[in-house]
Amino acid sequence: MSFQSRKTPLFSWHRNRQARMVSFAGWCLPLRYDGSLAEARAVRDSCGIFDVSHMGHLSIRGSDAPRFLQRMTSNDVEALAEGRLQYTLFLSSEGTVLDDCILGSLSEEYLCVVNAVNRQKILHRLRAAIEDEDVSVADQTEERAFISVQGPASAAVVEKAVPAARELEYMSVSRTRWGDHSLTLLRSGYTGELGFEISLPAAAALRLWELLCASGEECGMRACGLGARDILRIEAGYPLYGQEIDENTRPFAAGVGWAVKMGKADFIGRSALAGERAQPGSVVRTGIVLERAKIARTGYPVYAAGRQVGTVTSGTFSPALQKSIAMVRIESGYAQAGQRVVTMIRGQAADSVVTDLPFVPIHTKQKGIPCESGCCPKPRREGPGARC
Amino acid sequence: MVRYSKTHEWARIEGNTAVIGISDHAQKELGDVVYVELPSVGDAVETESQYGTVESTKAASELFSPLSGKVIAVNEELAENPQWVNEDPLQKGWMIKIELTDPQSAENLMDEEAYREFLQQQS
Repeated sequence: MSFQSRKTPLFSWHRNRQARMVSFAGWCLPLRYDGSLAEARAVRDSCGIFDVSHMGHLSIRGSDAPRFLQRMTSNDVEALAEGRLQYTLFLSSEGTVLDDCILGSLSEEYLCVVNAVNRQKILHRLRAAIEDEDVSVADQTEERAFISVQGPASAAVVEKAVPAARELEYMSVSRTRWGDHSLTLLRSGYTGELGFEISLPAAAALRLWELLCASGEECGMRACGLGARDILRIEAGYPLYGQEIDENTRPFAAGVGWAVKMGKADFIGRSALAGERAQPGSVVRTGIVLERAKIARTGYPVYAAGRQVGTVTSGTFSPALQKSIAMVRIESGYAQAGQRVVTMIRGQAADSVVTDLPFVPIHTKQKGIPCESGCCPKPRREGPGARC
Repeated sequence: MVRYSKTHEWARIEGNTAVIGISDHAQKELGDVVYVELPSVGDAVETESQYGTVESTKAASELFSPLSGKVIAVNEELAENPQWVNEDPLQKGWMIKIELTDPQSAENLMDEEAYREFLQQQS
């Protein structure tokens, strides 16, 4: 048994680039290179490249795989056409969230991208649930790398290295050859921007990463760490397992109820959720903006009318808004945009205002717009990362 | 004369006053600074006691005074420009200026060379 963090196939690149490394879900990953705020800004203005090889990469095959996944996940697998991606949940029989993931339908298999922290749990759960049916589940995480390129310039950057990216629509997936290697190309991400995620054999990872870096150089693309990834997903209002959702939260209260299709064939967790939609007095997930730049961190209480009505699940400083923002779990009666609340930060009251999610406009469906030099759109703002 | 504490604060001593801030090592550890909470002019600060808080995207960290005294100036500009703590921790990123209770007590702090050695031992 090893207690050492796993290294991704790009570990030595990060080390040579003098990234600040951090252990996350058993993996040694870059937290930041130069600074998380500048990295996050680069993704909004131009683009950024992330090593997300820690994400669990499961392959589900067999003629009964569609029915099997329909039973195991909350979204409708029948509605998932070949070549498409779907956000879905694994639920417990009590209706709480075991993991959220991206499910992709390819010609001979389903690809399931799960959170690193839940990989073993979901793998065991899937394997244990196979009945007398033609289904197999393979964990390919450690033989592959996963590279994410995000931002308005990402289409231009990725297309230069992998021309097949041009054809891909939002929430689509395809297989393409890259030299001797097979790439799985996803038009998806976790930033709210136009973006691509590329899964490929570990042995080819460094070569593609360096090619993408060279291709992104003139656009001011930056390598981004987990710090920037967290800022960007909070700005975009995306939940993170362990923060907004976990085995104690139910999908409707966590704002991911849209991925639960109560009308489809039976699935694990369905009976526990029957009749459960947002009810008066129940808890919902929304955002708050703080009036000062103090950061509302996970677990801080939120007050209104003299009592605690909510709790911060994730908070950060938003470089896009230049404000302190947070996602909260709050009583629905206090979740209206404009509602004034007080966040208690280490014993001090911080005035805050409830704001609908997301905090920033979502550009995932946008087409990449070339700039005058043909490499990326004009930056929306002056500053680092906006060099194009 | 710049002196350092083991909690990575620096003090630039000028007669019976000292300007106080955090070291370059400290700002690198913290990452992007987004908010600095400082005392008011007239407040008393004490050696090794908390006098403020610095928030980075990563965490909120306590600021400990390397020396005792009374606050005579506060870097108000950090409210609008917290990034100065990262960009220029020993000059523009200063936090407070104090009138020292005991100017001799600065001798208990490390000089630059000793602080460098201290950092090497820690790593």
